[in-house]
Amino acid sequence: MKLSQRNTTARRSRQGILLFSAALLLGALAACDSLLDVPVPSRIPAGPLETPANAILLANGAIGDFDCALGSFIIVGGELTDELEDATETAARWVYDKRVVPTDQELYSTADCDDEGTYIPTNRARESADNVLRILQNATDQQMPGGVSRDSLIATLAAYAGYARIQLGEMFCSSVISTLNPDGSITYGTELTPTQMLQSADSSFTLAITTAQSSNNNQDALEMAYIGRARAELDQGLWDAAKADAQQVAGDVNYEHVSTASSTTVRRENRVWAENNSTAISSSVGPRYQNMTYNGVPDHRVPTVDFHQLSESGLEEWEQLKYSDVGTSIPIAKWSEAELIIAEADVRDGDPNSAITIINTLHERAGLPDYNGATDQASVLNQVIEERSRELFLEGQRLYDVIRNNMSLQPPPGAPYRNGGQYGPDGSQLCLKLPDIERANNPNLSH
Amino acid sequence: MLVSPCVSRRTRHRFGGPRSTARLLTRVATLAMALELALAGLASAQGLIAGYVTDKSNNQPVAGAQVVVQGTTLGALTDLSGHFRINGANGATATVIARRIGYASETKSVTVGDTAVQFVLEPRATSLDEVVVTATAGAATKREIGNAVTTIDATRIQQIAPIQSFQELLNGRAPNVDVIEGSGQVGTGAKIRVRGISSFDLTQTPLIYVDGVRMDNDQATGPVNQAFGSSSISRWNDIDPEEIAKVEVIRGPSAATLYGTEASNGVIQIVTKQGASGPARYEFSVTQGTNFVMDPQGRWPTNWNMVNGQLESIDFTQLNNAYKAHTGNDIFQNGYTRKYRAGIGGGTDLFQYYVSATSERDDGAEQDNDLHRENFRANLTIQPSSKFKVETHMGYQTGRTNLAPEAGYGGIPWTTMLMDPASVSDPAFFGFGSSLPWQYNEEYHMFQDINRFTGSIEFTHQPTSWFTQRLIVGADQVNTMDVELALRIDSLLNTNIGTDALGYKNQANNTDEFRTYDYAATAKINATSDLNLATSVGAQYYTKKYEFVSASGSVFPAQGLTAINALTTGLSTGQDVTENNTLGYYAQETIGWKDRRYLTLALRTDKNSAFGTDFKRAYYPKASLSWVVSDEPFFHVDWLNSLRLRAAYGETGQQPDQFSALRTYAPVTGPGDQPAITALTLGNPKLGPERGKEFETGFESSFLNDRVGLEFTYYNKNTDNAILDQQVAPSVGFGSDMLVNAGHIQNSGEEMVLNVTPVRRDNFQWDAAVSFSHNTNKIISLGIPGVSSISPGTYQEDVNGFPVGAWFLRKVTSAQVDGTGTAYNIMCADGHGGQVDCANAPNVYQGSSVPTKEGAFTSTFTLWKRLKLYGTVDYQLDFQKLDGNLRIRCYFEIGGLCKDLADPVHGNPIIVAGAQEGIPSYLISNASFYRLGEVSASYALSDEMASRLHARTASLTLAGRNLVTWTNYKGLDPTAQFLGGSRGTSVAWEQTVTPTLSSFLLTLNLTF
Repeated sequence: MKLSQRNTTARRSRQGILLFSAALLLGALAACDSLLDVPVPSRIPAGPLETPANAILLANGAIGDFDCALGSFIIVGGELTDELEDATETAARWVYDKRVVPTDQELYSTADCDDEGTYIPTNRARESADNVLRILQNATDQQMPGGVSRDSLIATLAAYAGYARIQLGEMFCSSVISTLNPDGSITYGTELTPTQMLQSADSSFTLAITTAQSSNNNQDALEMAYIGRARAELDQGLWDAAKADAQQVAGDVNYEHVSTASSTTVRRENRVWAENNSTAISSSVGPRYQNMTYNGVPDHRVPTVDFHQLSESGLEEWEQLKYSDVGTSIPIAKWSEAELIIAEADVRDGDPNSAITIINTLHERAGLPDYNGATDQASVLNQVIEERSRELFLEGQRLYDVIRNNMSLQPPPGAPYRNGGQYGPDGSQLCLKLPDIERANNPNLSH
Repeated sequence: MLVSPCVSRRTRHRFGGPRSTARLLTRVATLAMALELALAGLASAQGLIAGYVTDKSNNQPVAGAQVVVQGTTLGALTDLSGHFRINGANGATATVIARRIGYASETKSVTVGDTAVQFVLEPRATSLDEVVVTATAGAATKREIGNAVTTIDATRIQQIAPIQSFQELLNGRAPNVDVIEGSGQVGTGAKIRVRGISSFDLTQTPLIYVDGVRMDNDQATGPVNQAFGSSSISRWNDIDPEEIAKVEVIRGPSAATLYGTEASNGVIQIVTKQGASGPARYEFSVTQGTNFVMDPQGRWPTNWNMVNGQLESIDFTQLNNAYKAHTGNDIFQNGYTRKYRAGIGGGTDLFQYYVSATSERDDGAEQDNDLHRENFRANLTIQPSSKFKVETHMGYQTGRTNLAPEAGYGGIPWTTMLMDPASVSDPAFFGFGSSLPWQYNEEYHMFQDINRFTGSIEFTHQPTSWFTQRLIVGADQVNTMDVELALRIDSLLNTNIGTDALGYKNQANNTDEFRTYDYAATAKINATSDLNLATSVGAQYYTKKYEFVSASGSVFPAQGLTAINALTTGLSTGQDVTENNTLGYYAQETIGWKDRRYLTLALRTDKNSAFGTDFKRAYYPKASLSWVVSDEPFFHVDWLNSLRLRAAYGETGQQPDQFSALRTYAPVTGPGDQPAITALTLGNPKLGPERGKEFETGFESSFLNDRVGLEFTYYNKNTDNAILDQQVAPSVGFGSDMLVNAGHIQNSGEEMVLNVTPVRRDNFQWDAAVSFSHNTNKIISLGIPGVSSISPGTYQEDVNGFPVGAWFLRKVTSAQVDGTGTAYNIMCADGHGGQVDCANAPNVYQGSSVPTKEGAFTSTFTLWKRLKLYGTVDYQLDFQKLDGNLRIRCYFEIGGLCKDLADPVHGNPIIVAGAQEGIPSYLISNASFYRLGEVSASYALSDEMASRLHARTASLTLAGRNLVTWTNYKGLDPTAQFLGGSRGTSVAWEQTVTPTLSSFLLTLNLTF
């Protein structure tokens, strides 16, 4: 082969190789975008989901978030007060029972509703409801799925938004409302006192009431909002306003709005039952509620039984029987609560006899004898609070009853805790201080 | 043909391992021989080059040497007798190169057809002509690369060291590679870190490749037997170390640039064994030994308590006696370990094969802990022409690891650590702290089953002498099943086991899929007689997918039930799939001048499916210089045999987790069990990869007749845009954190390796090695305005100017104790050398949670060329560890079993005050240690003795591991710790973790 021929062959060979390589690279480049696509079968991107067409799914999500938060709210509130005692040997859980909750404690500040977390799930419940409300309020009726009333849904979600705020106001010494904007930015809120948060709850309930009234087809949300607003007002000491709202439900003796539960997932379980049932007792019923009677007659509103077993930490275990299984619903708002709000307002307004009438009505429903105690204002007020502790046993009401009535704590602060250390709180407040995770990551708060 | 059927039959009888293994091996061997016969018939006898390779120092054959015909894909490995055979060479002469780790390479011009070519390789403490694995196509020698690359000669190490796992092969053999063992249970793994902590919240784990295929590198998998979210089985140990020919450690971004996104933590390349042309060679080895907890009596602390007003104590010996009285055994057993291995390698010029099978069974020191595993490997090479080569590598592992509960889960370490003199006479305790050991053994059962296939096919095409291209397509498929089972045992209901005895079960079936598509091409052109240019381009596509399906629940209605569908309470299911794909390209130009000066410039670009929508593409540049000064004409230093100076700068990345950029919801069940959603992740659309930037410089040298080799490297690695898992104020309504590109982390330090052969005589040789590395880790900036400290875990903080994840706590400096045992006048450090009331005291720095210095001393004595005495002492220094064992014994909130709290009036006031006030700084202590990690005596039987065993070679090795540890650390083990979960991120936190086991092993190696 001549030299020129060899050179030509080599050059062709070189060109061929380079072309082949370039083609491979170009082919890969052309395929670039599709090669990077990955499916997300277990996650739903928010963008395409947050539309009025998905209103029912979004609303179910918000209500589900509230239901889950309610369960841990009841357990934590129960352990902070006298309803429950911690029966585990997990030191991290004792902080609620001891009433000494460090602001950096993981269980308190970052755990979720299936693990005695309370700050995160309650805030999630509030924001979930608010987020759906924003979507609905910016939508038109025509954008809604067929057969779904936008106003009716707004009323329901506003009521849940109000109840989430009640939990924030009742449990925490201060709390915050921040907002995630549609563009992904965050508008951080400022620190709100319990009263300010309860006032915010008032506003949510008012939205629920006015919208339910205008839509005229959501009586359930209307009554739920009336009771909710009455509770928020009672919490603020606005007795007359509370009574006025509670009276809106007085005629509906069977009214009850519940948080449903099931065994489908841990998140859906009745949290109280999950913590306290015949197979596992992590939180035992407190001594005050064990074998409760009125004038010698068992009070079936507080059904309990001795488990006849010592817990891991040596506590005699008592089981609640109010929630009979994992799927038993938990009341959120009910007629008897409205009646007790009216009774408390009456007695505080100087009308103990009216309160006694209500107490006796509730006793009659429970198969208990009439009230036969002293009829002075203070005694009857005490009895109303006592009735609330029984009628609303393990419904998440006891904590703020203790706080707003400045009731003495049992065992008292400073008493030895059975697993070591002492009962709290250090100060006069039983509420939970804002966790560090909020304070450290919210630029509007002082560190 | 080189193998007769009768050889096969003899061998079949000779194998003494498990029957299934032997049967399978025999079938594979038969198939291999059939293929060999068929292909041999097709092979041309034209172009034959054959010969042998010997060691210049002792005239012994050199096995495993790589002999290649320059400018072609033709090549072969030498067999155990040092022979090689290459067919298909063109022309009348060819340039042939022989290389082997630890030797200087030798290049010869040989006549094609010569079957007696002799290479005599000279041992070198440092060899610059060693071929290393790079991301580019074609061979590259160390002299061309401007970085430090550590090569571990696994084949040689296996012959003398008691290596039972891959992490043991790595430990102490590469500078700045920290192998921090987590648990002593057999089957568990270690945290492996290269050049310090490079990220706040992304993984610190290096990438790992086996024969060019990216592998699942998770170091904490399996059932959560340590609680706190911590699992303890490492995927790194799936591969049988005896399948490995060599390991290369590429330590930082300056060397790993071409590996792109994900390579910031370094790259570990594993090359498995290949067959060599020639007759079939059979390997067989059997190992028998024992694992045990060294000196539990001396390591477990004495516990104290007031019993009837008297201070009483109990120690491990008393506890063991109580255990023995009830069971007849010791608390910790001597676990029996045995391993059987067989392999065949051989082939023709056209086709080479290597197949092996291993069966292993290790019993731990706890009754519930054992491992049994089978590993199989088949590596094939086909060279149909001098221009084309196909290699396939296939590895398969199957087995089960049973784990005992430990750490936060309880178990034997827990109940023994909490032994209590007050409960000695209580039949529910017998002095143990919680449940009785036999109750734990009966109640809890945790295991992981694994089936893993790692395979690749590599096509190498060299159409001309100057152009090479190759394509690797490979997969790593890992299927595991994690089971955490508590049985229903009614007789345990009224014991300390409690309602756990009603039973529960968590099961997760996991599938991890890694895929590699890697194309690379290199053109090498001699522009002038002195100037060589190597132009490389490449494209890689990596995918990884994790999927699990899980179910859990509690309460079996009757004993004997173990299935998930028999559970009656709290049933829940889960499934998740996460995928991540990377597509990258690179171009590199290497300019060589007279084979002694090299300049390399490269650029890589990557896209990744996890990048935020606002982040498009990452670019990573690289530049390096290598100068072999000793090859310069002006260099005339008699005692200095070789000297290379090098410097490199490079960048890599590390990608965020998948979905980190997206705001997402998760599907859930809503009210009335209707479909619903709940907020899952907040997402950060601006999220991009972390960027690792590294400069390193150093030298390799050998002197005094190549008896001394010294390698030194200085590096400065910076991680920019370090991803921080920033907590989000929960008032936003999202419980999750958000990843942000924020801070700047710096790792800088020095690495040094010294190899010495002080004595080299006919009947006595002494080889020694010292490695040392030092790393300074520092947060330059957290990168978040207004934030000066972030806590990544309990008692830890990330603070500017300090190491990542450093210990920060209040520290009691003085206190007094009154007659009631109450501490008073308690003062704490103010952080400026003074004291302050503890109520107002700041958290002060109390040290790094990871070692800052590590290294090893190794010595090998070779006597009469047959007896090798070997030992290595490895060490990790200057790190602080949280002694969680002291915490559960000596912290008022949890327990008061230490003498200081049991008798506080006479206790250490600092501890009494710390425990009383909840200031646990006394739990942090220096965990520096030196450890006699490996020691062995290995004897190669004479040919005559071997032949009596009908073997070509035979050797016997007696070895011990972890026999002595020197440390001032008072806990159970300076390395034991949580491997993952909330207490195992970057910190060293020990809490009733089974200490690292010691072992004795006896191994017989035979070749036929």
